[in-house]
Amino acid sequence: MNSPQAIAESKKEYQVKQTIKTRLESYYLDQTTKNGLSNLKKIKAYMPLELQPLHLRRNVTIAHLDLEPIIEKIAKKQEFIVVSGLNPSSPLHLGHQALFDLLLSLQHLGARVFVPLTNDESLVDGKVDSLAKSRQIARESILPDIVGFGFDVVKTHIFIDSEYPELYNFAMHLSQFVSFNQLRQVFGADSLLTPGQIFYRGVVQMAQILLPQLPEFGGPKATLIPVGIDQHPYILLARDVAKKIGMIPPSELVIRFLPSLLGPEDKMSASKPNTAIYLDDTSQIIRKKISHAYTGAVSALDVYQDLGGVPEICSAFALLNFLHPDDKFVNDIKLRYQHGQITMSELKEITASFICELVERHQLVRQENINNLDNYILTTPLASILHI
Amino acid sequence: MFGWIVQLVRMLVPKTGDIGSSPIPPTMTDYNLIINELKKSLVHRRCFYGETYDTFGITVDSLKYYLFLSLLHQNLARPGVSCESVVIIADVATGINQSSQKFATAISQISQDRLNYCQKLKKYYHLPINFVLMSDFFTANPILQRVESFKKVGRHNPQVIELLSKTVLQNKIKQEIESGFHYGFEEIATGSFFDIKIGPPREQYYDQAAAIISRELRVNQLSSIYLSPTYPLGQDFSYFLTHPEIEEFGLTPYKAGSNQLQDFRIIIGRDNHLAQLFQDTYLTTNPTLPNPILDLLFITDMAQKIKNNDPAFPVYNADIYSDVDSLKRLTLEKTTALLVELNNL
Repeated sequence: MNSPQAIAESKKEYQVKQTIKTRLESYYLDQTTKNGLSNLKKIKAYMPLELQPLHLRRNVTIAHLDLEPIIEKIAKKQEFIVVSGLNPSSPLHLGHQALFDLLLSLQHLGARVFVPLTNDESLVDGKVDSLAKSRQIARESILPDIVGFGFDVVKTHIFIDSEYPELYNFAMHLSQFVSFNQLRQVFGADSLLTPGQIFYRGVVQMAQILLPQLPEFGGPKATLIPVGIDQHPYILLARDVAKKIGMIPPSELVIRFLPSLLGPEDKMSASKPNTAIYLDDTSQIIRKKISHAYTGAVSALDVYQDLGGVPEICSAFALLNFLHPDDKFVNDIKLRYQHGQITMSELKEITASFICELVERHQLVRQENINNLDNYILTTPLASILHI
Repeated sequence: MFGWIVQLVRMLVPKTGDIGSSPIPPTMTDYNLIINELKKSLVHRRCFYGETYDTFGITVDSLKYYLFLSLLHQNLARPGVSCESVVIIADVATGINQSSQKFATAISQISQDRLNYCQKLKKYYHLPINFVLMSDFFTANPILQRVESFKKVGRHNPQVIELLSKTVLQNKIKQEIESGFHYGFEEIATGSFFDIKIGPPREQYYDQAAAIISRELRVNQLSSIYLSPTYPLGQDFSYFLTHPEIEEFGLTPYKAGSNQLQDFRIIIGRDNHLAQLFQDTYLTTNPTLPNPILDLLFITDMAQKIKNNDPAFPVYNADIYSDVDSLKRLTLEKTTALLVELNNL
């Protein structure tokens, strides 16, 4: 039996958690409005439920720009492009899993997936001290993990930027269509301090996004870029450049970050081990990390059972919401959580078991494909660039 | 029965308007409210519906308006109260829209064929409405003077011009401006000879312009009823996402070639490949989203009501939306039967 003081504090704690939830939702709503993005209500209303990726069904994706042409491609069972880059400066974690699960769902719906590994970005931003180091991480750690997600080798094209110099030829071509003022507006002066940063941010990123529309890959095609909410300006720049060179402006799908294990207002970060579950963590480490995860339940059990919890801000529940394939299972837990009918130890046990199995399965697939990696690497010469 | 009377439902019954939330569907009581509202406010009940046409033929969607107008007439007509309902086949207006003499000649023949067919419809279904060519209507009524009065007032009113601009396709706007929106003024001047108009939702812009001018000229003001938009059949789930203007206003119901979608419409007298069209039509169970199949069911049920001399409007339970396959099966059966009748007139 809790003291009146403990009860009062727990009730206050509950209000704080509700406030955090409201603050997060307002943030995403404000950013959506501010950036002129559209919510996904209409898309979800029309798209058959069985075709909607989990991320759409569970509001892990929150906004879009010009997604309709992609939906049309899906409806007509025609191919479209998805590009999602990865900065290979540190090991992958479950936040990456969530993103790549989305890419995989999109591939099942008809996408040809391009994954630039931006080791040049790692270098120019000082995350590694040599290209060789970043290539090593990309080759030995990142590439096998990506393949471990289960992509179709025929429809997946991964390239390590510095190992695909064709990319830089295309980037040079695109440099005619981007001004330094535009870059400053999009990225801010602090991100454009060195020639490498200017070149990378200014045109190499554009080249990564627009490369799949070159003649070598079939010409202009509907393209989708899944991004975090803060990356919208990049997409606007890419759309502007695409129009100038006769390509189809890419569409944008905004995805929430998988929250840090330590709380909902930060994301999982590869550079902060306590915030993230890595794809090479052991079961023991995973269970320990989840046991310390931030939750949406108050400390006093009887208050929690009375008021319920706030699953929307719970780092443990987020792992289920972002990654567990069974809607009914996840919704049942959510309801029980909201009504204070599941203890946090039970929730964390369920989550830990699921995540351990997920990571184990991933490591197995990763290992099975370890000798198959080169088949995913893009080496297509871009002869068309030299004749533009 | 969601959305079959759009404008008046908005006046009488609030719609929630949110994607995914169920609207409050009009019931028989609401239809009665609408009829009573019209009866209360109108001494004369001159109802009309006007349509132009193209060369592809008469669509089954035109029947929605003919039949609805007929049911409306039956509900409004009372001994001792003047009630007249007219369908104006706008041969003059259709001719305005094209410039070649060859087309003008073809249009003239089409208008006569259309009128003849409509007379057969009237006879078969004992419709209480009259069909008349616009050119004949112009002869019998002082339309041209009214058009000039409307132009005098409307041309200098930016709000009127903006409203009329919204009725025009973007690729025709230059032509309309050059003509001084003659087509638009003719349309709204014609409407001023009536009390009640039924039409597709896009007519609201004409009617709003008409209301401004009518107030200034102190002539009759229309009450308008807008029926559900006409949607193309045979489309996948992405169609209305990539064609939001069609989601909002639908196609032109009386022009089979509207938006070059004649292959996705039902045209009287041709092989419409109904079964395939229905199969290819994506439907959701969401009642707030377009449902061209339910639209067809409404048309077939109105036809049946009229044949049975039953003046009640068709109504449906909310669960009509919940089983897409059953809805398609039922509507296919009824539409097939209706088309046999229509083709054999």
